[in-house]
Amino acid sequence: MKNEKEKLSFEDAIEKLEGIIAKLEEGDLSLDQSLEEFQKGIELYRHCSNVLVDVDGKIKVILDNGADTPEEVDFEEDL
Amino acid sequence: MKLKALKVCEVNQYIKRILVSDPILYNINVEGEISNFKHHYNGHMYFTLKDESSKIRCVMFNGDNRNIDFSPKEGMKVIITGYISVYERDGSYQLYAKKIKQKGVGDLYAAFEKLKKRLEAEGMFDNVFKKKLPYLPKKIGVVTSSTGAAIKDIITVIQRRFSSVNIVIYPVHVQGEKAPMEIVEALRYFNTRDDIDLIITGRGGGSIEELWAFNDEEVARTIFKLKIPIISAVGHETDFTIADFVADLRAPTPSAAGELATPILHELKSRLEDNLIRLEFVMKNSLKDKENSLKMLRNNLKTYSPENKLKASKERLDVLYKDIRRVMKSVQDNSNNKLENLIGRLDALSPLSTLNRGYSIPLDQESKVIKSVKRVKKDDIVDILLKDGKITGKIISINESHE
Repeated sequence: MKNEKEKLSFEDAIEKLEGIIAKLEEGDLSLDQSLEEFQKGIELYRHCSNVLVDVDGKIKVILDNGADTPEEVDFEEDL
Repeated sequence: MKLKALKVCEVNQYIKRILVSDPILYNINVEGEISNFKHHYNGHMYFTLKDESSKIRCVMFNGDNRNIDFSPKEGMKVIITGYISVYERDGSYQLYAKKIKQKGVGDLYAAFEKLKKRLEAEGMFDNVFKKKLPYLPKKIGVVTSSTGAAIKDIITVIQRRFSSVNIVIYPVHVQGEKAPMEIVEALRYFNTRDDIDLIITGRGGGSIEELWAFNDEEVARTIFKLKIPIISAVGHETDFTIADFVADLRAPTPSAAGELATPILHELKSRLEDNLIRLEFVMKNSLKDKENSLKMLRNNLKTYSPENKLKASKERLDVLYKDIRRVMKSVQDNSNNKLENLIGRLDALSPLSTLNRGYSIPLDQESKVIKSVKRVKKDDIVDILLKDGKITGKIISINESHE
């Protein structure tokens, strides 16, 4: 279940979140159900939020030095 | 005979007449490389056409150069159709260009069309093979020159929109003989990595020869086989290459590729935060609704509660109790009156009142009233009750009366 959630893309997660909100807005759910949906919604929010900050915006450049595995170094504009 | 000296202009005029009447020079094709190109503000083009060992000055007038479908540039190999004539002022002959076309371009276009048709027939451009781009790529592989404007444009746009995405650049030559093989290698390399979720390949604008690496069949086939989605961004909006057709998405320019590759981070963030606010709002409302209905139920419950019933019953009981008290009291009062009456009557009948009236009552030793002479014998001890006490005596005689 956790693994599944980690793989969930931002797009899918935010769509699910919006679905949950719509369901809650309809107001047909029991208290237990709405609490459960709310909990799910919060988890999806956290997931999305994590996805957005997960990557760190690094720029690397591949150095093909003839080795089997090319090296990756920081990119500098004047390279 | 002494020849008459000619004026300079006459000489030039004469040479000009000879040259323009020459059947060959009148209409020739000349091939060479452009240098010293100047597009004068009056609209005329001035340049030199050269090969390895020689050069010739050229001019192309405004009226003739208006319909050229490319911009002539330094170093460009061209074929010029025109005529040779003399510029009398300078006494120099030049090539007056009527038409200009890029050398080999016709061949390249033909090759391009041929390859395009073949690959299209194979289905390599079909939409069914187009992969969906990730909505939110984490790491983008870029295959382009590390020195060109393209890479700078791509990085600038991506960082402006979605600064936290990672970019890996595989520098390659994007023109020249080595370019196709290097591009193929770079694409294959990224395809072996599982952390790259999107590839961008391309370069800035240029002539068809300069863009040619992206019309290479091997490059096209490599792009087609990629498991990672790829955006092709070659040249300007008007430039189309085979890579554009076979890629999952064609970006008109490298900057556009950056835009197509990434969403705008702050828009995502605000969409997400909006959703959180809505979620909390809706939950709060739902809880409040539930609370309200609970309150209503509680009120209903109160109205119909046993406590209330008990209270009502108690009140009724109180009423009944009071009633019964009242009734009881009147019954009791009645009885009391009766009793007093009775007591009065009883009093009248009491032996004590008899005693008061002067009678006495004989009692035997067991304190029983002796009502008859037959109850006593001579010498029996008897008590006699009087009004104010008791006297004890002995029976001396018994006289029974006879009626």
